[in-house]
Amino acid sequence: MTAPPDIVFSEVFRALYPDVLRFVQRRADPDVAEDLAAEVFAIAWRRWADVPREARPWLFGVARNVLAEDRRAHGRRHRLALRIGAERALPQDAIALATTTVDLHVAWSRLSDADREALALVAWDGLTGREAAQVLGCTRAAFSVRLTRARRRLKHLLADIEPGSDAERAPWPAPRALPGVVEGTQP
Amino acid sequence: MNLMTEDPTLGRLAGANPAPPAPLSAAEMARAETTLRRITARPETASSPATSRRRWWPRAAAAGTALAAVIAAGVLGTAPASAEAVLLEAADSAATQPVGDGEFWYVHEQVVDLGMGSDEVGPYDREVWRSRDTFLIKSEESAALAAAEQGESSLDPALVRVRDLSDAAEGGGAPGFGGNPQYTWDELDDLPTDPARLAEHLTLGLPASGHGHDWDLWSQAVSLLQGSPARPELRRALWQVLAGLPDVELVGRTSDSAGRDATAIRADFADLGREELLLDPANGALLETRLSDREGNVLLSTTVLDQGPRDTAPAAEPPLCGPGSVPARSC
Repeated sequence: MTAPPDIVFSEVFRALYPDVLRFVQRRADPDVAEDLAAEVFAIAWRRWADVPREARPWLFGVARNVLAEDRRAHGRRHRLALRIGAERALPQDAIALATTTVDLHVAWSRLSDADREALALVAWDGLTGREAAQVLGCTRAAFSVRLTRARRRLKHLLADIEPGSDAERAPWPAPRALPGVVEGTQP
Repeated sequence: MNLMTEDPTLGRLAGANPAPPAPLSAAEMARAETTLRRITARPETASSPATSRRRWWPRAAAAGTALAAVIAAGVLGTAPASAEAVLLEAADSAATQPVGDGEFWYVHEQVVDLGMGSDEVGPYDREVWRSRDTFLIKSEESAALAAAEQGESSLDPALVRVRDLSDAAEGGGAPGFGGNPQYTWDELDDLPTDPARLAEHLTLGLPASGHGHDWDLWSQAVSLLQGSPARPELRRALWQVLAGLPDVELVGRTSDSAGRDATAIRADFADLGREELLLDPANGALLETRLSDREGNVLLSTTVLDQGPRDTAPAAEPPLCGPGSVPARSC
């Protein structure tokens, strides 16, 4: 199902440009983010007849390709990076806050790019498993596996860094999203 | 409940978002409007419609009978058959296979997950019982993941539980079959069995993935063949739908992971990778699917060991973690 004629490109642009810009900003140098976001929408304009009604995952998928092409063309290193000191709901004590923030940063830095991408699509870009699978071009089941593994690896890295967090190391049950199962709802 | 509220690590990670969702600043908005004007100042140049390279199902279906001799020659050994011919033979065979009756539709699969990187999970078994209002699953996946992480070859039986996921079915209500969207048992019975109408119906019901009509249609048809109580006429139509898709190649004779004789076909999707189907054209059974990336590395292999109607299903067991878990364990 593609974007119907009654949906005007400018409406989609105004509705989703902020999401696409933030998506790119999470993965690109600040000085090129707006140019790359513009390129995403230029491609959408050229392929307007192919753009699905559910445009956001499609645009994010295009954005990943644009980022990859930019990396190839300019040798830029796009790496998902944590916002240092930005964690919420952490201990109020300043030292503890700094420690847990650094711990997360260290754990994050030890993850593979693939793990970071799976986690970021859900935790930062706010996508559902189905949407994230569309962005990555894999099945929902395959994404569920990727995400589960990434979550487990991040938990384990944090557990290694933060003594006393062994409770997080219990086997994570039933990560595979079967048809009919909403990820994250499985007991 | 969702992942973000359920998983404290993900919640914590969300707090470290380098560019949190936020409205555009005034300056960003001004630049965005300039960008919009610049883009739309150029003429829109739509790409070629995907249908331009698509075969047509009526032609494929009509050719089915005439191809019988070709299939016999190709699959049985002398001349090379085509993927289309193999799929059409599977279609005709599936139409002759009775489905049987039962309250539950049972699917037993074996999975090998090579996923990302070098860590392989499995093989592990997964059994699913679906009735019109019940969804029970017994999966060894958790045990396989734990074994893979600990470098062990045997699975811990304590990590294998029968779980009742009836309330977790997407959108609530009756458990569904297929990929996305899902069809209830009753809706499955109402799907058209003319391949052209079925393809149109499946396409209309599909939320576009952005990876093209062919992939969307392929993945939905494969999902329904892999684990649903589709009646024989519907199975025939599903195979015919696959036969009508372009860029599907015959790989040849092989064996599936369970050692059964099979014929393999392969579909390439430019921006996704490829999926190989191992099937038995003589009875129209889909035996195994192998999903690979663009470099040919198999990511996920799923072997259907058994599927069919059942009158009974096992009782659900306590979950491994979360409310009601035995022993009590947080997720």
